[in-house]
Amino acid sequence: MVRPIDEKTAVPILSADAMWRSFGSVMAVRDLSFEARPGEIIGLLGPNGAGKTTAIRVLSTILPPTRGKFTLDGIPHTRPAEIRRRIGVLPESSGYPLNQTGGEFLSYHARLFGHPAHRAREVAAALLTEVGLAERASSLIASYSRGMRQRLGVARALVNDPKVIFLDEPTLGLDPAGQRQMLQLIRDLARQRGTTVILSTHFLDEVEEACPRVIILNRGQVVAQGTVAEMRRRVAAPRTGRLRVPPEMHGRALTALQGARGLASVQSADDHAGSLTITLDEASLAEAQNGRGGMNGAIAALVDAGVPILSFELEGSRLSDAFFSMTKED
Amino acid sequence: MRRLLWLGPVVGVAVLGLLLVPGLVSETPASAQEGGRGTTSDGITVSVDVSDVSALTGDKFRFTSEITNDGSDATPPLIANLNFVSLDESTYIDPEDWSPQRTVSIPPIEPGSSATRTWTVNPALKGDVAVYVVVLPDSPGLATASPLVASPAIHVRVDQKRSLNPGGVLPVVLAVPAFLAVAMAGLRVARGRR
Amino acid sequence: MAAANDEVTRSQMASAPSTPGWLVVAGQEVRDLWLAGRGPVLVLAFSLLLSALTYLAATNKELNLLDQKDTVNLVMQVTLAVGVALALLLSADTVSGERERGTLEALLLTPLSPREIALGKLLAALTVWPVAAAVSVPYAWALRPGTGLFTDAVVAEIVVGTLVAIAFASFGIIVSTFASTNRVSLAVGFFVFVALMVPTQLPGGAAKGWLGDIFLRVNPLTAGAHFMDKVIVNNHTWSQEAGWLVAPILAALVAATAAVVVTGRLRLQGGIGR
Repeated sequence: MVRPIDEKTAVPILSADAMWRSFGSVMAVRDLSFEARPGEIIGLLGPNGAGKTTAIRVLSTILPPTRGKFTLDGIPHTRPAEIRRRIGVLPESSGYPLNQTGGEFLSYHARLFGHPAHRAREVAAALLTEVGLAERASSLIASYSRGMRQRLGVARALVNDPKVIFLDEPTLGLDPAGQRQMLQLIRDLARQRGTTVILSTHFLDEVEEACPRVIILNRGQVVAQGTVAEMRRRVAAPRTGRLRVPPEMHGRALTALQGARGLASVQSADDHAGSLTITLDEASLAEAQNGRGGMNGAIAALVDAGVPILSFELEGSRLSDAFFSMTKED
Repeated sequence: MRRLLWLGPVVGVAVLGLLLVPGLVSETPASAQEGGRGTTSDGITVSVDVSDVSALTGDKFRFTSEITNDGSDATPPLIANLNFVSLDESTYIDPEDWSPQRTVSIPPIEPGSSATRTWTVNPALKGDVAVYVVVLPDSPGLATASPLVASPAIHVRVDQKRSLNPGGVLPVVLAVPAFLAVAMAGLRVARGRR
Repeated sequence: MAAANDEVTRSQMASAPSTPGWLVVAGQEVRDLWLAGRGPVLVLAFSLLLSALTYLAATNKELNLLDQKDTVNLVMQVTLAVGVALALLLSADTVSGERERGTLEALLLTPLSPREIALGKLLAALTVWPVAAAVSVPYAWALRPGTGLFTDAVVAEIVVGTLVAIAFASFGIIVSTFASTNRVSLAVGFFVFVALMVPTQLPGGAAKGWLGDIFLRVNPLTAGAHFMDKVIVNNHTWSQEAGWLVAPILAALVAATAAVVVTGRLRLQGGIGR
């Protein structure tokens, strides 16, 4: 079922407000506040022990919040059974009953969500087709590979056509092809079903690839949230650049750049091809972060020296830069 | 006549001695019975009606013992007890297993009369066993003072009964697990997974 | 890709399910136990035990070492002990076993309450008792000749066994709810069962005395075994021995009630409360 989404105006489907969760004296989640709109894919990033799984368990009603609140589809967290009817979850360390077939497993969970028996079988068959397991519907789960089990888990999370789906490390243990398939599936969920996806992962490239928005957790606290582009900009301006000059001008370019303002280093990548790598110093970097200076000094130096610039390429900052910057140990 | 005169005191001393020292002569009647009357083991004989029995394990057999009072007085109340002795070291006899009731009380038997008792023996184990009946007075003083009177032993040769189908249970014993095993195999085949 | 459900279906699911959740859980657990799991193997092993026992009992009967009634009673008592033990161990495995296998979280993510989940599992674990009792019937039938008490023996076994099985299975799921590991759950269940079974093995004289009598009456296992013994072997009436049914009835009621209360605290992690 396709649910048209206007992300800018849609009412949040999920809203967490100053949510805390502690285990004794250990604060696993502190002051978590965010909103998710219908059809959004939000990446939940954080190092091991950051509180991602705990946050998902609270939002999926497995654990009650110690403080704070959240609502899902307008339902407060104090009505957990109603919330569970509207969500799907792929837990991180999910096990499966090995003596059941994939079809039996999905039918069972469909029935637990209220489907009558005959309808549950239809739902199971359709979901297995959707996740690419139709041919293995009658096989025991014991014979499924890791990737198949993950896909089965996603299918299980969809038996109730949820409005919000939580995926905790869905690509863990998958090969690159499996990861790619899983990410595609996740994008399709959001696009075609209009399902809001909360994707918890520590694979930064997955978030960059699939998640327009990201929340970074560290030690239970939100250290940053926003679009991936905002994360990149917030943390680091382009620090290095790679340029090419005519090979016969290599020496002149090197001399000009070594005398240029704002460069920490100039290195020859390939003398014959005229390739050079330049790195900004801290002062220039700060200027760049504030939208000024940056590589301009280097370019000006080359122009003044009469060196033609054949190509110039900035090595853009990555989400990984933002992530490591925000989650580094103090 | 004069030669017989010295015989008199001799006989008198002998009779006096016999009266004062009871039990020295087996056929000397017991002294005054303590709590009982009549003779004890004096004049009692026990007989059985079989001497040799061949049986299979579990096949009960019966025999009758007869306790006869050959004495001149009635016997006191008696106890008759059935006993078993293994004639080979390999057979352990648990009397409880071999007979349900091994001790019976016999009321006083008048002189010249007898009392019979039928005993049931259940040969529980293979082997050679001697079975006999012992009679003694049913009063503490007399029982410990009087010699026991035993019957002749019955030699019982017991062979093992070989039955593959005791009590007719064999069909059930085999059929139930077989049925369940087939049902289990059928379930697995029906699921078609293995 | 087509979605599997439409709005109508979602609204149906948002309301109460057509079949009660605990019944859905019970149905699946029963299928898992009997069609795909350990159930048939356990029952086959039990039948082999009964076959060996029945053959030996019949042999002893032919040797007149056992009365016919004793042989029937022996089969009934062993069925009671084994059937109840299996119900206890299966229920002790329900929650803690799912926890260890990583399948509990998926169940807790359904709209069912923890109590409904536990009830369904408890009912499934209890199915081992009627199956064990049914398996014992042909053996009792084979040993019955001359006793005239086949029906009485079977009815006594069913009544006593059902009460005791409910009590022990309820206890098992309580332990399973709180146990941190499945090993702990099974060990506690097994130990308690053995501890309550031991008095049944004592010689008759050892149980006499007022304290011993109280212990035998309070222990649902010994009380139930005593009841069956008197009805089957000594031909006593039910009213004569009704006092011995008090402990099994109370144990079933108390344990089942406690299980209903306690399983409401069923959590993803084991341990005592949060």
